[in-house]
Amino acid sequence: MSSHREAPEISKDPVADNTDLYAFVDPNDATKVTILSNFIPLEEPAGGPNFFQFGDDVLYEIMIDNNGDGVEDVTYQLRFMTTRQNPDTFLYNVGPIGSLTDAAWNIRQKYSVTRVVGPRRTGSSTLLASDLPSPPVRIGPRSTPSYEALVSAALAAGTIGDRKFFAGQRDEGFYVDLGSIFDLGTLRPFQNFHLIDTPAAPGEDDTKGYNVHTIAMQVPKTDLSASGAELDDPEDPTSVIGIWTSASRRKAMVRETGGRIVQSGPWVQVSRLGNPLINEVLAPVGKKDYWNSQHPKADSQFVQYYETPELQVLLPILYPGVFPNLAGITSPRADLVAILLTGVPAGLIGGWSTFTGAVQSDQLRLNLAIDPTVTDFDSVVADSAARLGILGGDLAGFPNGRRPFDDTVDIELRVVAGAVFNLVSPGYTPDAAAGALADRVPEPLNEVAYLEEFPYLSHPNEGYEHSHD
Amino acid sequence: MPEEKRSKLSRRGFLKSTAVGAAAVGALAAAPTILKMTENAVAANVSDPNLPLVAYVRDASKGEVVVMWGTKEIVARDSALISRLSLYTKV
Repeated sequence: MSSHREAPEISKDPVADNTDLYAFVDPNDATKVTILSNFIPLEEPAGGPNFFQFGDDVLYEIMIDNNGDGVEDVTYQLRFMTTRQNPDTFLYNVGPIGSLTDAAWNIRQKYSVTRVVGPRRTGSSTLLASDLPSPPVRIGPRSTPSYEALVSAALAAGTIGDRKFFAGQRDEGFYVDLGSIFDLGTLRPFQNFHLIDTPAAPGEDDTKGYNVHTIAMQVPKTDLSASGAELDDPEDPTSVIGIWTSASRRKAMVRETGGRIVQSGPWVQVSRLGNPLINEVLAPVGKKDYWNSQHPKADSQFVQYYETPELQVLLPILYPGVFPNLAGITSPRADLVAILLTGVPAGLIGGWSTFTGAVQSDQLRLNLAIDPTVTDFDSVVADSAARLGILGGDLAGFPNGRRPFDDTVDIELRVVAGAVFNLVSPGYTPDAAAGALADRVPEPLNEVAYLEEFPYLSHPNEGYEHSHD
Repeated sequence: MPEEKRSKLSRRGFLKSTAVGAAAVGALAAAPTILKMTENAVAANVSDPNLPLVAYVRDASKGEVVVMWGTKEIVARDSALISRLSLYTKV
């Protein structure tokens, strides 16, 4: 998936497993940027009695690089603290949870937000807020009968001046035919062309009915840009920021008999995420945990996996005769390096750039000078141009940031298949299939409607009634 | 004072001073050397003596010991400490 269970070690540590990162100029207020960082892959809504929550022992961070050197200039750090009102019950709640202070709500979580200017661990830090409430998980009609009201209360508490923060359970907004893709690269709509062929079929949304835990923030552009000023020239490199997110744990942990756990030492990064599907698809399994531990400024060490991606070799083998031109590519994939490691320079697409400079780093790049094109995320349908971001001609879509509805699986499949390789290699003709690849027929894009306002990801599926079918 | 006694005294003094010198030389040889110090977050009460302290021998052949408390970490070269810790493995 995007970055769900993408590496051997982090797949055993879901609360620290970064699944998706979204960043976009806010459609309701174009002076602001909304960033969503998700954790806990394939979160089963009925996972009681110890429902999913953030890790108290995890440092969650969102980094902004606003000068193209691959090093963060602004960081938002979140720490969580769990309290139990009654340790003598096994229950998460002992009655309906009617408010964020309801005595019936036993296991609660609060969080703090710190903003750091400069390197994330040594820069100048300011505590923006503490004791912000995270809403309860969505259990069912008896335990959480007025769930939206609980979320509204958490959102109100998380509004700090002109910044908004939210941390809590959400519907998994990323959609993908997971079961098919990892069955030897099968794309159901094209499986009649597969080496092991079966009749073509519609794809499925295998994340349907699952939840994630989301850290959401909406902050003024001036919080993030190097100049602190609002930007209006899309081709000016200073209009582009790089965004990445991570989870870190303390270096040492000792488990004592009796259940006591001692943790000590500096924070060590165990998960990171910039662009979707990078560690998932490009990095080989022997490098995935190492990739998670690395800082983006050192990503040139991984450039070979962008220049000669394994998937480029696999597609012509798995779909014989479908990708003859892709099979003939012998030069390094400069298109992938540009799109994913440095950003696309100005001049290739008029009025559009994501270029941050020569430093190769996996960051989700967002051009702050390009206004939103879609104001209602739930209005995006399968055959819309917006779903495919820049491939569909939507300048405000992936890889210019990433909106929840952007179909990053189809976009990256097509790009790896050579759909835009002709931009850097003018003599190249993309295979006919490259521009049509898709893992599913996405109607609707997500099984639950995206929200029209912050935090945009839908309310979570409830444990009592949900479906993965 | 008889010559023999003077001689014994001086020999005792010599032995004593030699022992101190040897110890000093030994202490110099075994003096811990801090190779690296890391603290990458502000932590409350890092000076709290009751804060758990974790140490592990990273590479005995190089004499490297890692000591962690709070969000601090020190990598030291301390062969004497490793030798003392190793005694416990022989219990």
